[in-house]
Amino acid sequence: MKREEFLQLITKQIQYVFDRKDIEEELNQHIEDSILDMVDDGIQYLEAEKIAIQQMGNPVEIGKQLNKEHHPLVGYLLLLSKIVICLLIIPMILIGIILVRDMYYVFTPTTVSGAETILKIHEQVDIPTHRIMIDNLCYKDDTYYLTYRSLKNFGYSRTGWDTDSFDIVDVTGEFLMGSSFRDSNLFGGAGYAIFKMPEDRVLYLRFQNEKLVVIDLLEYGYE
Amino acid sequence: MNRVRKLILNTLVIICSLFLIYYFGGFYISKETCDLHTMRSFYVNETTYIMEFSNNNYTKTIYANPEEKTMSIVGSKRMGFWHQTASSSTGHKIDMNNKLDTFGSYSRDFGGMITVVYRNDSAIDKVEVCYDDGFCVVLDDWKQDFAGVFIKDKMWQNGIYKAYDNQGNLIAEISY
Repeated sequence: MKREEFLQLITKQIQYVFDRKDIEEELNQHIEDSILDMVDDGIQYLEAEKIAIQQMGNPVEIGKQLNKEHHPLVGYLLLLSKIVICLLIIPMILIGIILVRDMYYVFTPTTVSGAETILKIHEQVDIPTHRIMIDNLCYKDDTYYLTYRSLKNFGYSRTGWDTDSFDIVDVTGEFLMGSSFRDSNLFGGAGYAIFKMPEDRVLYLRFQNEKLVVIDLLEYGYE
Repeated sequence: MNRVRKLILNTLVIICSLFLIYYFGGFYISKETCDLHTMRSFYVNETTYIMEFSNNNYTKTIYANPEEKTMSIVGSKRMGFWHQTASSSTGHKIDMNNKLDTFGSYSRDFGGMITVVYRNDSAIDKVEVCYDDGFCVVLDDWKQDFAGVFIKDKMWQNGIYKAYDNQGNLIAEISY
């Protein structure tokens, strides 16, 4: 039997078609190594090839044995899993980028672009659903900004958006807060509130659950 | 590493990746959980289902908290097996000083506007709403003192809301 015919009879038994080429190459290399050993012993190449093929045995039986070892179901499932992983790479990269960005915004103090940070407050307030971190008092163009971040309790909400959690009022309850900016993310949010500075420099932060937190800016060194 | 081990490892990687996409992508199996998480985002927790309006794959659901006198309009969309928050959601305090209060919602992806009224007087039998463009509608299908309507392809409009008792007497009137 010729070498090509012998190898084809073997690989025909392999049901996982993507393994056939590799198996054929491996067997061919094995036959070639056997031939070279015999040629070194003085046997003619063509005669050595015939002997090497005969020594390997029945090609159909060899093929069936190899088919058991290279199980087609495992082979096709592995191929499918590789395809699925390739398809998941892009969404996973996007999620990774978003996660890193959102973690940066939530875990680093918020500032206002172009504004001077005149006080670092770093006050932490826990309400049943969030942890609010009051970061800085900033000032720009005759406007005061109170920057903050909020971190949702784990599993509380997965919608990826969030809203303002507090108002700013003075000692009489008068609303001091103007506009606000907020960037929601997977973990909560970050932003700032524009407010009118009260005469006594005391801010009352009124939270959604009616909790009241007092921030005396004079105690933080504001003059 | 043999193939079976490679297959197990790949399967674990796929499961973890799909879970991360599910978790951080805001996908929900249950619409109720999706709505609850949406309401939690604006600090609303305990609510009762009142009614819902659907258009294509989008739904706006009305929830209320009778004790706190609040209501929410919650948007969601269905994508095959999954639900996601969508189509704008709002929370409102109900004005208990008036006999009638009204709420509305419009979003382009939902494809129309919703008008919801709340009666703080059980004598109110129906509410006639006439919008600024002349279109009028009657709301009289009450569910826990809420009644509402979805008007397809209509952008947000202000209007006059007139509440009548079952004798046709005008009880309350508001503009919104």
